[in-house]
Amino acid sequence: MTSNTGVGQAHVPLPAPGPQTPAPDYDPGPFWDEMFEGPGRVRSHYAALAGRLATLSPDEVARRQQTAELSFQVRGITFAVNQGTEGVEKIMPFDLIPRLLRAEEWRQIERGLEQRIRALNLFLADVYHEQRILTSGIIPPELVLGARGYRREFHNVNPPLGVYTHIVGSDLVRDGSGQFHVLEDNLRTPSGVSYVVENRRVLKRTWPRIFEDYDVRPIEGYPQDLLDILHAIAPANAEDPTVVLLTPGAYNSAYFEHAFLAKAMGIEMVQGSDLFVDDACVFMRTTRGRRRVDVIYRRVDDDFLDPLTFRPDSLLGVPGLVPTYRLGRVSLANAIGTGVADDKAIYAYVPRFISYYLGEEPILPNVQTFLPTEPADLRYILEHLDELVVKSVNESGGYGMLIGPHAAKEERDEYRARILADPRGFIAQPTLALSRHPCWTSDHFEGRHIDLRPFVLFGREVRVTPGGLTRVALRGGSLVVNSSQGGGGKDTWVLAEDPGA
Amino acid sequence: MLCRVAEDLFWTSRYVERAIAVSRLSEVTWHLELDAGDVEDEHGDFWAPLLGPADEAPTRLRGDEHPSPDEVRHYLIFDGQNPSSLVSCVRQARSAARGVRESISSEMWEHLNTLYLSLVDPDLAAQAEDNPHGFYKRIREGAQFFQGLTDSTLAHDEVWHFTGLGKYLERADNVARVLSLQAHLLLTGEHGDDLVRWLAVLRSCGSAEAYARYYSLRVEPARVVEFLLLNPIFPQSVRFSLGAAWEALRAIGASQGISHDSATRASRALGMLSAQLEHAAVDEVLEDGLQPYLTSIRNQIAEISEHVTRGYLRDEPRPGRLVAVARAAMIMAAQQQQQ
Amino acid sequence: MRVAVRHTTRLDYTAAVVEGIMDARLGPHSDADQRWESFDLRVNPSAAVRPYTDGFDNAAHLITISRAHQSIELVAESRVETLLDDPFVPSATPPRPLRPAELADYLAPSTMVPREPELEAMAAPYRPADSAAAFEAVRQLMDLIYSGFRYQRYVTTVATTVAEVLRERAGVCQDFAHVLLGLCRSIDIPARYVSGYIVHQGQSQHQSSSSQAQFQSQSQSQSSGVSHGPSAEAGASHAWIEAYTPTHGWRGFDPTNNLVASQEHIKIASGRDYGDVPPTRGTFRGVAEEHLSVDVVTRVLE
Repeated sequence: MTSNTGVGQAHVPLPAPGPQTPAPDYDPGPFWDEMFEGPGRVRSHYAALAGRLATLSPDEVARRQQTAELSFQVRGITFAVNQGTEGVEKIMPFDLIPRLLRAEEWRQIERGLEQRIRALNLFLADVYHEQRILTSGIIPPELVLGARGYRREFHNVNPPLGVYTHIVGSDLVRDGSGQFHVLEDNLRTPSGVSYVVENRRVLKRTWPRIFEDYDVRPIEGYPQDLLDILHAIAPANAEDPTVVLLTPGAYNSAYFEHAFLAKAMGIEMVQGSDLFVDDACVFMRTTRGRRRVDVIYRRVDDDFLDPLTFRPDSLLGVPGLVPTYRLGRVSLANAIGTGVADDKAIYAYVPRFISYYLGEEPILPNVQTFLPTEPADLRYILEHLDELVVKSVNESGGYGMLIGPHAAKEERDEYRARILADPRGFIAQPTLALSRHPCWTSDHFEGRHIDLRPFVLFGREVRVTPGGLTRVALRGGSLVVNSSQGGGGKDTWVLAEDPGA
Repeated sequence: MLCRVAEDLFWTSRYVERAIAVSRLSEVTWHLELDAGDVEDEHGDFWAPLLGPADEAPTRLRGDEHPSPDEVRHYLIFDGQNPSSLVSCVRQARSAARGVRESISSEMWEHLNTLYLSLVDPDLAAQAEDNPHGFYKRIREGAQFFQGLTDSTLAHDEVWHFTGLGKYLERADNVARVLSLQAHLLLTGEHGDDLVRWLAVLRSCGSAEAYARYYSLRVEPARVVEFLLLNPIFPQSVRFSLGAAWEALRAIGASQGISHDSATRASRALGMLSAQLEHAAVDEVLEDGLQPYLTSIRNQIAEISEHVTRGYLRDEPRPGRLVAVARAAMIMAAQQQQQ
Repeated sequence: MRVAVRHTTRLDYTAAVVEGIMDARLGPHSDADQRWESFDLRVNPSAAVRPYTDGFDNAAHLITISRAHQSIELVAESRVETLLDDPFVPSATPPRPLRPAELADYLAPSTMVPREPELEAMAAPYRPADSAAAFEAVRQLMDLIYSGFRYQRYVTTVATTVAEVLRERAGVCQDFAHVLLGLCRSIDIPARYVSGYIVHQGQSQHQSSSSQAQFQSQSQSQSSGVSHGPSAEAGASHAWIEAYTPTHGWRGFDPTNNLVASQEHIKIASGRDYGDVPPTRGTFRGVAEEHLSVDVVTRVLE
């Protein structure tokens, strides 16, 4: 039906308007649209998908959408919104149309993320050993040493393979020119990969035909890849290492994902109270007596890991865990203290880390970031609050954020005061025109802003899961994609090769 | 499997079984009350005896010589402060299951959760008063359905055996307890309604129809006791339940390499109690005294539960409470540098 | 001087407990000013003892007793030679400048020594005009505490905050060390907390304490008011600070005794405040009450 004259060049005439046209009035607007080059012009790699869509009536689309959502409900793929004893559990809203990434685009992302995670690891190794970078002039030492995620107690530990961040979720956004930028790195306990796997599964079941037109790279191998890494970092003398997943418990918002991953990897999911330390080994309590644990995939924050080293009131951790880790008799993924590198103020320096540690230019650019700790930046921020997005350096989930253009004057004034009171606690970025993707809204398609969170595994080598979580801001015009604030998700396809190439 | 998981499942199972027992008992008692109508006699209050011996009753009802049926009913069914009330049983079962969701089937969890959520309704008490029969039936069936799901959606491995162990120990204990509470109904009364009462005892344990098939219509107190205590093939009897518990414990122990003290003690105690019931004769039991016999059985069951807990579920001694205690470690006093 | 030290820590429980885990910092530590000749740590009942080095380069031990026990006794026996003759003499070669991390550790507020306006006000008049005056400034701050605070036991606990000590103007060595840290840091002199022992020349000193307030020592010369000289009694281990000056490098300052640390001070470990270097801290599992008693015996050799 079409002839592709080249990647991204083809004009795909849609079938004649009528009840079967999927989006005759769809207007991509002034944003980069993932699917449409312009009104009525579908990007070449979406051609087949658009063709399929065109064969469905709005009712049929709605029906498939509902079936997909029901599938999530029935399987209980939920996350807790309000913490507390009676948490409300919600499903993450799922949008039927997958988001497609061309092989060539993905290659750049892959290389860029690998470069970035290697630089971040070298930064962490440096911060927790010689600290050369603190005297290099590259970054103000106080910024690093004062970061909330910096863990003084972790100095001079040598984690297996020299790797600190085994699992990373870096958030990418595409701007109006189509260029991908890294928006932020998540190096402590990034979540969302369970949705990546489930979204694929559900889409395959709800709408298998669309998979016939494309060669989509599989992502189902993630649990096995993760397990391989966890085995690879086991203490040297562990022969058949026992790996466990440490969860804070059923009241944690990501509990579903913890259980999902543990089951998928075939490992035990434990809480702090199930473990204890004896003779600098970690054991778990089983009905058959104690059983040695070699590797802990921990989804508990640093502060709560060990009441003898960190917060003494923590019931979620294991007394004596940190000395045991230091002695190399148990391994943790991710290592302790990785939060110093995903502090949003430190993020601004990552491109400089890439050149300092790797001697390379960043393949994936940062988003321009202003730091209130720099006087020139501070002036700029205060003068342009109505244009900027202000973020608290240590919050996540879309909280602690001011979206200048959308905010009321009182809100901006409040943030002005907070920034002046605590310049180290904030960063500001220009409001990006995030790319959009058609999403089904009850009876028609509309563009919604999206981002992308690929997951990167780092063990003996770096492996980027092809795809990741495309998060959708469900409210029209909203830029907030986080699930805790009502964001939804899409299946994300990395095409094995460009169609027709 | 993790001790914590085994313990939570053990208790989920016990609370679900207990919920069934409480709902049955309440339903039967409600029926008895209706049947008795307005007749006033010293056996007319069917609810008060359900509070048990004086020392077990809650303090605030104790002082009162004659707590009203409404008060007793409220205590047995709705009172959140009573850890064995019907509502508490369901709540605790759900709470224990929640922590180990990943170890049970999603159907089990969803069903139990739905049952619990239906009890959170503030108008619950009013609804139950409107249609008590419907209410008791709904809870009982909900709990029984959970047991059915347990059997059909869990692999019959160690996890399943712990749920079985909990269920059967609880059942044996409940039947012994109900029998001891309702024994007064087995005494001959003056109103010619003996049959109704004796049947009520059977119904309290869900056993009336099975009894009839076994003994046809000869309902006699001694036969009722025999049926509930010693029948080898009816699943509600104490003997059967203990035998099934013993099988479950053996299956658990069979996969153990090492046998440690408490685990062995649990096996021995359960084995002995089970054997004791296998060789008992109802006439001897009645001669020696039914209540002491029942009390002894219940004490032994409590000990067995303690051994199971210590042998498999946790290391340190555990107070005889039904609520899981916090498993926090204590912080040692730190030396202040004082010189 | 050469000193033999025996440091005994005993925990007794009212009922048997399990899974005892202790993180101990009892030595050994050697540096330019002391040589730790021998170190022997015994635990009764027998326990697993694993030495390691913590994030502050302090020697530490992870001690675990998993099985049921009703008491734990740690005995650390050491022989140490202290080498520093005259702490007042500036160091021969200029001291190595502190690295950014050290500056951050020892200038920034810490958990037990937060920023306190009162400390800043107290210290402000003593801010040294130049780097050569820093050493003397610390001495004066030390004297400020020695004269202005009262040595008194049992008015403070392990968890007492600096603000409380300032209010009471009383406490023990741990408290005075925290106050001095706050004062030094207020005027930008890097300072770190030191845990160790103090020896009294010419006599063996038996210092013991019991957390149940039942101690039979020749009691305390606790005249209300000022403490005098090295306390001859009471106390477990000792605490003081080390301050960094460009002239002398790291030197110890003991506000409890108004001494610049030299031969009588044996250093075990240092950190940002007490929280980094408690001699012992741990957990156990069980339902019991705990009683801690500590005993330190020092003996000058030869």
